[in-house]
Amino acid sequence: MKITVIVYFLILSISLSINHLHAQQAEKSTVSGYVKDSKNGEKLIGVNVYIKGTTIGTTTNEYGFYSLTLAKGKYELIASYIGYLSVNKELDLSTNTKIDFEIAEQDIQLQEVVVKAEAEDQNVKNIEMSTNKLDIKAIQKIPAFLGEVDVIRSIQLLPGVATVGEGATGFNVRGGAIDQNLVLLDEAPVYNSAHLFGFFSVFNPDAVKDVKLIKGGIPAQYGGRLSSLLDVRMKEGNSKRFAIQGGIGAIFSRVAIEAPIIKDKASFIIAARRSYIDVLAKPFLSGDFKNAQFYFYDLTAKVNYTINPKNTVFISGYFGRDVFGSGFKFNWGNATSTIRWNHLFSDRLFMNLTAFYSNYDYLLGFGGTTANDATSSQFDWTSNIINYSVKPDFTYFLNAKNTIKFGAQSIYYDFRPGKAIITSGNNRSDISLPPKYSLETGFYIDNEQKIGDKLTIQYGMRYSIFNYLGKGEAYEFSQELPNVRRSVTNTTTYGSFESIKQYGNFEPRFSMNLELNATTSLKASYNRMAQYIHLVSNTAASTPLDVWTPSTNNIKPQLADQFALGLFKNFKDNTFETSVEIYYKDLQNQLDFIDNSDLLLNRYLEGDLLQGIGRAYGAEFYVKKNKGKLTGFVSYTLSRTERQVSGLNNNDWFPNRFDRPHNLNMSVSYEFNDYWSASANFVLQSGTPVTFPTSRVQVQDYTIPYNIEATRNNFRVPTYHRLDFAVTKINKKKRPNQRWESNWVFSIYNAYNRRNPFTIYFRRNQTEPLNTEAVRLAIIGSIVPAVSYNFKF
Amino acid sequence: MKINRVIIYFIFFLPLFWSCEDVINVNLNNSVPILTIDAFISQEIAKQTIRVSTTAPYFQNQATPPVSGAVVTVTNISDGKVFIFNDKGKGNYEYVSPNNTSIGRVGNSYLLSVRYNGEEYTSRCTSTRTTAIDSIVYEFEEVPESNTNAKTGYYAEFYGFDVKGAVDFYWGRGYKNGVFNSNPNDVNYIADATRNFAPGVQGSDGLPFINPVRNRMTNSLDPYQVGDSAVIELWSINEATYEFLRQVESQMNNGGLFARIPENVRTNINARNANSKVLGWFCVSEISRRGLKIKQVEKGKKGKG
Repeated sequence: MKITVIVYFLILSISLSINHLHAQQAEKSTVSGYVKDSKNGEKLIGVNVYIKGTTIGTTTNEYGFYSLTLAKGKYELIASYIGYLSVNKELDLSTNTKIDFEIAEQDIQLQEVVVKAEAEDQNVKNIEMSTNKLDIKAIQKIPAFLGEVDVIRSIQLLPGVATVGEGATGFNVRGGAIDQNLVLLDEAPVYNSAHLFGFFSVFNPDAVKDVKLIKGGIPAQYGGRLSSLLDVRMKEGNSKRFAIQGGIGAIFSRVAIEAPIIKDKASFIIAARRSYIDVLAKPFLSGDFKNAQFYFYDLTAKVNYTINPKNTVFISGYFGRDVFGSGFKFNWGNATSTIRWNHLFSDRLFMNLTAFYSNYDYLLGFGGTTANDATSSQFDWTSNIINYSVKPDFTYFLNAKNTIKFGAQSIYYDFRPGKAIITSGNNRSDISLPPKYSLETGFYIDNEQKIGDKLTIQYGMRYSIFNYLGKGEAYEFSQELPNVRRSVTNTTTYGSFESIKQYGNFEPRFSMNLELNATTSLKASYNRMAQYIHLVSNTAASTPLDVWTPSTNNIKPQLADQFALGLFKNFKDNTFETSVEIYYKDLQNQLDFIDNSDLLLNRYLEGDLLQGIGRAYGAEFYVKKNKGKLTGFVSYTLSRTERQVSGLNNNDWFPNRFDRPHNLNMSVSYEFNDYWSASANFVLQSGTPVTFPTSRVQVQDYTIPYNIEATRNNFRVPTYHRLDFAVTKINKKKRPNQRWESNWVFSIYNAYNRRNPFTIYFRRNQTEPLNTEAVRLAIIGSIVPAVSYNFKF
Repeated sequence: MKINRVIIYFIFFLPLFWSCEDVINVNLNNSVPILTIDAFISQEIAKQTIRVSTTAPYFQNQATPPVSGAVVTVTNISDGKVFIFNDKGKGNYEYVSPNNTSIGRVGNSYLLSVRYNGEEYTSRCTSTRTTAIDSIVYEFEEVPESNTNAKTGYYAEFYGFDVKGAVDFYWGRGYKNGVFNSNPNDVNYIADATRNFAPGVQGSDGLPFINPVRNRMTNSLDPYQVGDSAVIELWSINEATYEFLRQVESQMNNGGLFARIPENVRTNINARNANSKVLGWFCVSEISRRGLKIKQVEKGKKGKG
C-alpha cells in the first residue's frame, strides 16, 4: 500500500518536472493537435502525421492527439490514414503551434482516382507486431452468423486466434486460456464478453469505433493478463449533426443515436440492442415453457465534452444482460462505467486519467413459485466480481525520435463468489461464501525510439504488485498427493485491508522494427506478463457460472514470457500485405483442477486447484488484399498449446482443450458495383482434443466410462470446416445528397450443412440400460440463413 | 395468416434449435480388464450382495464379465464378527444371516476383504445414520410424445427431514416394482437437505429435503403407472461415498456445451500389491424405506402415502 502511494507521488512529480523541462529547448518548437473525421467529428486513432518527403513523424494516440517537436522552420505536414484522403498543411514553425486536422473518408466512387495514401504501408512501418486492427467497416464486410456483425466472432478469423467451438464463450490467443485476454471497453475490463453463451459479443457494432487485438509485444502500458489485449474503443458521438443508425435482423434489432450537444464541443451516442426470439415465439410456447424467458439486451452510451483545447472529458457506460428462465431463473450481465479526462499539460505532455467501475454478476435460482407454502422450496444464488480503478497515463512527445509513455493503474477487486440462500418451507438458510478482496497496482515507463531511418525500438518496464487483502480468512492446506483434495489445516482471520499475501513482478517489454527496404521489415518482440486473477472453470467451454478468483496465499500468479519474430512485406504498391510471425510462449502457474473438483460455492476452493506449466508455440501466416474490387485475407496458423500438471495425465504434457494445430481462415469480399457486393468465409481447423474412455465399470447398475490409460485429451474430434456467404445490396439513393442510406444483407452460415462436432461424449442408451453409445454434439447442425436490414440517417 | 405464422416460426424460432445430437461410431483404444468390487451393503436383516466383476470394453453392451472363485469377507471391526459372502454365480457373492441378526449397527466399522488370484483387496468403512421418510406424494403428468427425455405417467416425490447435527450424507434410491432407478439423471446424493455440499458450511442442517432432492425418485423415461409399487430408500453414506456418487454422476452425464473434462472415477478399495489395479466401492449403510402402490388420481390432484 505504502509503495503505491510513493510511486503515485513520484509519477506526479516527474510529470510536473517534465513540464518544467521543455521551456529550456530554445531552437525547437512543437506542433500538436487532434485529427478528426470531417464527417462526424470522431477523433481518429493511429493516424500518421509526418513531414512530407521524410520519415519524421508520429501517430495519433488513443484519443486522436499527436505532437511533434522539430527544429524551427517551414514544413509541409501530412495527416494520412487508411481509407481516408490525406490532408497536407503548410507549417511555419517558429513558436509552438496547434494544428488540428479534419480528414475525409474516401468514397467508394472516389477510390480509384485517389492519390495513394502513404499510410497504407503502416503494417510495415509501424513498430507494432502481432497486432490486428479491425475497423468496424472491415468487420461489417465479413459474412456474419445470422447476418449480425460481431467483433469477437470476427477476430476469431485472425491468425493465432482459436476457440473451443461454436457457442463457446471467449477466444484463445496463441494458446492462452480465455481468461488470459484483457478485454477493454473504453479502458474498463469486461469479464464476460458473450451474449447467448458465445454466439454474439457484448459489443454493439453501431457504437464501436476501433478494435485492436495485441497478441504479442504488448506495451508496458498494459498488464494483468497473459495472452492478449483486446482494446475496443467506442465512438464519441457525432459532433456535427444528428445521426441515427440501426438494423433489423433475424435475432435482434439495434439502434444507435448520436448527436452534438454543443456543436464541435460536446456530443453523445446511445446505442441499444435487444433480441426478440422470445416475443415472436410466445404464441408457440405451451405447457412448461409457457412462461419461458430467453432474451438479451444491451445499452451502450457515451458523452464527451471538449471544455477547452487542453481539456476533454468522456463519460461512457455499458450495461447488458442475458436472461433465461422457465421454472428457473438464470441471468448474467456486465456493467461498466468509465470517466476519462484528457488533459494537455503542454503541447508535448498528454495525460489521460481514467476512473472506472466494472461489475459482472449472475443469478441462478430455482423454485419459489408458491409463497409460504410449507412444501415450497427455493434456492437463489448470486455472484459478482466488482472492481474500481484509477489509471493515469501520460504520453510525453520528447522529440521526433522519442515518445515516452508512463503511468500507473490501481484496481481494487471485490470478489463475491456466491451469495446463496436456501428456503425450504419456513426455514431459511444461508450458505453464502465470504467476499474476497484484493488490490492490483502497476507502474510503467516505456519509450519508443527511432534510431536512424531504419530502426525503431520500444522498450519498457512494468512493475506490478498484488495484495490479497482482508477482511477475510486465509486457509492453509495439507500437502496431499497431487490430484487429491487437500484439506484445511489452519485458518487465520485478517482484518479489513490487512494484507494476507503480496506478490510483485517486474515485467520487461521490448519490441523492434528494422526496415529492410521500403516494403519490408523485420520485427521482434519479447514480453513478460503477470496475471493475478483467474477464471476458475473445469468445463470444456466456460459457463456464465464460472467464478473469478484472486491470487491468494495458495494460488500463485500466472506468468508468461513470450518471444515473437515477424517478417512483414507489402507487394504491388501496398495492394497485398503479407506477414509471417513465429512465437514461443512459456507459461507458469497455469490453473487446473483435481478430479471431481467442486468449484461452485466451495469455501475451500483452493484445496481443489492445481497449478502447472504450459507452453505454446506456432507460426502465423497472413496475406491481405487491400485494394480493388476483390479484397480480403487468408490466415493460416500452425501451432501447439500444451500443459503439464503433476497429478494429471500421468504427469506428462497434454494438449489444451483449445489446441488446434492447423487453423486456416479465408475471408473475401467482392464489389460488383456501387450497389451489390458479395462476401464469403471459409474456415478449416483441426478438431479439438477430447478424452475418450476405453472401458466400462459397473457399480450398482451404473455403467461408468473409464480410461485405463488415464490420459487426458487422447483423441480429437473430426476436423472443423465451414463456408459462409453473404450478399449485400445497398439501396439506391433517390437524390444524390440524400442522407438516408440503407442496405439489405442476405447471409448463409454453414452453407454446405456440415455438422461440425463441438464434442463427442458417451452415454447410456435411453431404452437399453446396458447399452452405451457415442454422441456427436454439433452446436450448428444445419444451414442457417438470415436476412437483415440496416439503415443510417 | 396461418402460412405467415409458419414462416415466422421458421425464420425466427428455428435458430434456437440449430444444435443437434446424433449417435456415431467411434473406435476406442484397447481395454484391459480391471477387477471391480461393487460392495454397497447394509445393516438390514436381509440378503447382502457384493458383486465382483472386471471392466470391459466400453461398447461391450452387456453386464461386465463376472469373476468367480474370489473369497469375499466383511469383518465388523467393532465386535470382531466375520461374515463370509458365498459365490452364487454371475459375480454375485451373498451373505444371509443364519439367525436373523444384523451385521452391525450405526457407528460400527467394517473391513472388506476380497482375495482373488493370489491378491488381496481391502477397504474400510464406518456406517453412519440415516433419517426417516415421512411421506411419498405423486401426481399424474402428461408429457408430449415429442419429448424424448420424459414420458407420461405418475411422478412421485418424497418428504422427510435431515437429522439435526453433524453433516449427514444420504443416497436416495427410487424403485419401481422392485427395480432400482439407475437413470444417470437421477443419481440422488444428498448432503443434509440439498445436493450442494460446501465443506465448512452447514447451511441446510435439519431442513426438509428440498428440490431437486425430493423429486429424484421417478425415472422420467419410465414413470410409475397405476398399480406400480413405488419405493424410496434413504441409505446413509459417508462423505467419501457422497463424493464418489457425485463423480459417478458427472462421468455418466457429461454431454452438452458445458461438459466437464472426463476423468476416472475414484475407488476406496486398495490392493495389497501396489501394482495390482482395482476399482469399485465399499460402503455399509443404514437404510430407511417407504413405499406405496400408485392409485389412479385425477389430473391436478395428488396421491399420498
